[in-house]
Amino acid sequence: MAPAEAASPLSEENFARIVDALGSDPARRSELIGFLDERHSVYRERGTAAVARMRGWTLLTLARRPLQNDEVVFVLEELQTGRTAYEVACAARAMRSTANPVPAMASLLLRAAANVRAVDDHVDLVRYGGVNDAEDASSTATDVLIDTLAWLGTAVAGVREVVETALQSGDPPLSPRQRERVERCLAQCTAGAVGGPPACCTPGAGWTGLRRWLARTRADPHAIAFEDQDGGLVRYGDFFRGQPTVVVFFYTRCNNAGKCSLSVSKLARIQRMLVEAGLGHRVQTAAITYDPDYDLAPRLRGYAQSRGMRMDARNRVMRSVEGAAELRLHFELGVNFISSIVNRHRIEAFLVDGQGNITTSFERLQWDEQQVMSEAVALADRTDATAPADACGGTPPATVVSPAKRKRIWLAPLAYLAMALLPKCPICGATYLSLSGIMALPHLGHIYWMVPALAVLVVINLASLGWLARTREDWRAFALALLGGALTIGGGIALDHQASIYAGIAVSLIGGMLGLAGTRVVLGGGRANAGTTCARPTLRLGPSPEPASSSSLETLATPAR
Amino acid sequence: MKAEIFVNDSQEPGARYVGWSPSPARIRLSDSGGATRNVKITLSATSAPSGGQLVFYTAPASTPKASVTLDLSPDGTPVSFHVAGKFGKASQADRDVSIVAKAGAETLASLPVMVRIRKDATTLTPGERDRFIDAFARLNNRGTGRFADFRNMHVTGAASAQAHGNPGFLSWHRAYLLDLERELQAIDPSVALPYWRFDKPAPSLFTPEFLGASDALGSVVFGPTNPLQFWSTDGVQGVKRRPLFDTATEGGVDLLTEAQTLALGTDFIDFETLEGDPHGSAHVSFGGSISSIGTAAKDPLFFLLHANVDRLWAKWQRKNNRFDPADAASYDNAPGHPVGHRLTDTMWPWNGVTGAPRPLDAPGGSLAGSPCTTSPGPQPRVMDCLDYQGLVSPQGRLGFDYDDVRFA
Amino acid sequence: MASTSSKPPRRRAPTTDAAALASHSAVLADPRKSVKQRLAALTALGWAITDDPQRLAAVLGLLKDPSEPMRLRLAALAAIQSSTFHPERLEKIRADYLRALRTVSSDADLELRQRALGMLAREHDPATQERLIDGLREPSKALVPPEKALQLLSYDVHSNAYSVARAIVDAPPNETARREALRLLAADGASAQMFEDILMDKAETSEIRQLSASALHNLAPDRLQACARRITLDPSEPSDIRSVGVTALTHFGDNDAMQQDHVLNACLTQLGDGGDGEDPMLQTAARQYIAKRLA
Repeated sequence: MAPAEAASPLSEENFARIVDALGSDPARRSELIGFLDERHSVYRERGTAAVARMRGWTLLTLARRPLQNDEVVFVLEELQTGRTAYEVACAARAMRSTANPVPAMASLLLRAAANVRAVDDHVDLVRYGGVNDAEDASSTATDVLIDTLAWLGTAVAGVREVVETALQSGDPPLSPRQRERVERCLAQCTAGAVGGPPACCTPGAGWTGLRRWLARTRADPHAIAFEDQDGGLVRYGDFFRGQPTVVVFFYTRCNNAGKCSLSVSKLARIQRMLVEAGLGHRVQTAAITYDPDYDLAPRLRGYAQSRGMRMDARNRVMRSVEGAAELRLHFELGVNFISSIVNRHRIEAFLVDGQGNITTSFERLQWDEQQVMSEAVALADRTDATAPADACGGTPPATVVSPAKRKRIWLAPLAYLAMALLPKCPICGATYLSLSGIMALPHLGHIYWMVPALAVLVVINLASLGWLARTREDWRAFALALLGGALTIGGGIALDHQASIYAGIAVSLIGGMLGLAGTRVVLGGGRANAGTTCARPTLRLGPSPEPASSSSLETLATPAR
Repeated sequence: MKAEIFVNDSQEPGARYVGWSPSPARIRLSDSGGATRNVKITLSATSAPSGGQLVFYTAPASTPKASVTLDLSPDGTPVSFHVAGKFGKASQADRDVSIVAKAGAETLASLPVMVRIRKDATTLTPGERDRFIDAFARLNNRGTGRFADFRNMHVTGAASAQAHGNPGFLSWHRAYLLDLERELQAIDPSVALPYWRFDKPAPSLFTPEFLGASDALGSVVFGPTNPLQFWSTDGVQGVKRRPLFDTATEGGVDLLTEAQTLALGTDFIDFETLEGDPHGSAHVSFGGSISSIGTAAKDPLFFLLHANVDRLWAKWQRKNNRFDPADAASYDNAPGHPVGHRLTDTMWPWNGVTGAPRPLDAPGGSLAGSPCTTSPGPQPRVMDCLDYQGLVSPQGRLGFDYDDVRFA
Repeated sequence: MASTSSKPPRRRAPTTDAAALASHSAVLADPRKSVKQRLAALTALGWAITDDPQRLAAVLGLLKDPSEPMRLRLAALAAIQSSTFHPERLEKIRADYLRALRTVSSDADLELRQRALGMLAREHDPATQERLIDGLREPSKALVPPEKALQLLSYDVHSNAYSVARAIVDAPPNETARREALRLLAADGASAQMFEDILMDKAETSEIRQLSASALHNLAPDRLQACARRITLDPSEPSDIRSVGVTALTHFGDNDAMQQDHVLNACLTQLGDGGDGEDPMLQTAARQYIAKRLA
């Protein structure tokens, strides 16, 4: 009897068609890149092998056109840590489309060869699926890697030196057969200067910023509670408090030694380095599992212990017992699942400050312990310098924004609020109020309703300035406010570009002031009609407007600055 | 008058275990009872029925005897001697034999000990069998216990190259088994790792009460009272093992017999070919986890298989006197062997060395210690695993012996 | 401590006695020779079959050739498989080895298919996983019985088999398939409640309940201890299941909790003392508990 079918997700065959279609449309390249995000829903409830096939095919398709710098990171990631013959071969092939190859990429090709020496297999990079057992099909993943090495050697000078150094040092450890093949291809490599590391390694900002915005609106880290390796319970806000923390994510059933096991081992090394430097009391460490259902406390303890981790109140191995979804959102974890089991994840480590804010993330590529430790210590220095003690001499409770910053956030808008309360036309009041909000809200990052509220305020601001502009027939203030709104929401929030937020606020402010500059306040005397609106501005910045038609409109003086 | 006896130079109960190799011991008068001159005492052993038996040495190189006479000073100065199990008379239970010190008819001390020996799994008593599987099941503890490290040490890739395919294969696995055995002994000190004599039938081994009986599918069935029914590795419950031979009446498929193995050659470079046959042949006498190098350690049988490989090495060493690393025929130390396989190399993972050419991580930390001996140390070298009985240097004794490999 | 030798070490004489190997290879390849002779030649070659690409190709060719005697093909498979215990050899041959295994995984002979699929499954071969899952979804495509496919898929906790395993638990083609589907699901941390329900369901077979106990121990050990206690105290439970419960308590229970549990201890003492009709297995289990926990 055939088993009942569960609801079918997108078939791999259809996925391949979609990827092919996206690959032939340059305008939709960002959607293609989106498939390289581990969290993409298309990977949910898929086995690891299926995910590897899908990602590999995506890489191959992307590489039909030259790879830009911010796309190369996915290739490098796979070469550095991949353990699947097919996906590594795809990455190696994709590397040949790199717009700006550098000799250092040879190291990663050799690293990949070492990684796949025990899992090498014939691969088919023409058809989706990756398997071609025809007798005349003879490419293995190693073959593709060596071929790419040969290509690199002719594409850019300096590869020979990189390879010779690696062969001499024995790092990475190639099999004798691989070594022999690498030596043969050396002859094709052009000698030259080695140069620096690949110029790349940050995924494209566009979709990242938007995703981050979406995530931040929903994540509430204070809903997260952990159980540690001893069964002790601790809330997010209580653990990530007072001191910076180095956080890595892992799970005990990860079978890629270059990811989870190495991450936890490295965290243990950071612990030792901190203690040796006399800094163990200033920085915490935490290893958090992706797999809280399975990685119960004894498993966590055993796993961490066997990798040399020290465990105490400041150094914990934990699983989430509440708020697992919030945890994933808050850290924007690059992980996906089949049932409750991780089917794919990236390398990720974070620095969290003493207020529970994530300040730095190290994603995709293997991170250096010394660098992470240095950044953690620097964060500790900053934390010590700015954190005020409470009345009892302890550290203050977790806050999202420092008091000094909070003061700045509210001061200026209060001024506008005061101005808004002064008698004037409602449109100007709306303008002031909306400007206040636009100035304050972007700094309160973790309020979930921030972005919609900000959008509403921008619309109000634009509407009011638009009304003013229409009456004065001078659209410059409106144009500036429109530009400011676009910078704040589009560049600053969606694209996560900090400078755009400040630029947007500044431009909105100029636009708002320009728009309000031509109004006059009627103080005492006179009659202010209910619902009256602003008259034409008295401040002329450009050609004289046509004389206003006589009207019952009140004029407003320029408000005091 | 009273005396104190220290075995393996320790008062710890965990140190009261001996094998065929002489263990250092001391005795002293703890209460001289007013004696002013040396007291002559006799050391001998008393055994429970079917218990172990002991022999004594006045000095390591002396002839072993059933009893020895020593003079003890009334000031309590300890006098050294050595004690070992009498070959062929291993214990069956903990503390089933005692060292007895008598002055005339007066018993001054009686210290229960155990002659703890690695035995043929088919010869274990039900008690020995149950203690072993109990300790093993607890070491596994649904995959959360220390066993996970042993499983993770024996995988493909760079880790595999540390342990296979080169001369260090035997030393590495000897250290591996020793580490596991010591962890078992930390749970139950009376446990020794048994071996599966793979060239002979082993009907009592492949039963629901012991290492499980395989059904037609190759799923191993354990009895309701067998704690191995809770075995788990890699997050997967159970054991997959499908014998390709009749375990009740046959040994493994097409593998060298013990006699053939011992006849591979008198030089280590010839003997080490046992890695292919019978070792490899024993592995592939099954379908299931044990038949692939990356999954073999998921099956508890793996450790009994390798205990037999190690026993064959021990027997070959005994036969050809190949315990001394300085003897070129004891080991293949030719230049060009990869790191981890040369005599003076420390061995991964116990050395904690990671990064090329070693693997990226080193699960489990250093090799477990033992109250019975300080060897091979937490970070053993290849050469430290040759002189397992302390024949070349008494300090080199590793604290295990096989039932059919004598000391000298 | 011993020191190393100062004499230069001996080098092993090359085992690749070219003439002997050539002779053995010729016998192996000669269909006119008897199976016994050819098997002897294969044994004589040993791991040398992987030292030379042509020799390896010949052996792989023999493996894939359906006209060759099955005994010889299986022996060739075992010989190559044995050599994979040498990491360098495995790395050298793996791609061709897996390719040959994939070819014979659809051979007419069930034993050869099963062995090949087992090796591929242990290597986490993605194509093999997909074929096994396809066979579960569409029995006409099945290479092996469903219970075997499920067993092989359970070598990889990251395989795609969970949904099909759940479907089989709900609508099993046979009991063994259901058993193996449950065993596979024991890797899913979200399945703990299902296993607890099965363990406590007296309508289930002892085999399934025992497997569920093990799965629950893997996923939620505290819950297993609670269930084990209830089962032990319930005289209407079958003896074998009560024995499983007692075993779980004996070996994995919390010692302090056991010591304080007078009701449980009294029950087990009574079971251990035996009596008319008391099941010997249960009595043994109870005595083990007493020896370990109450002595």
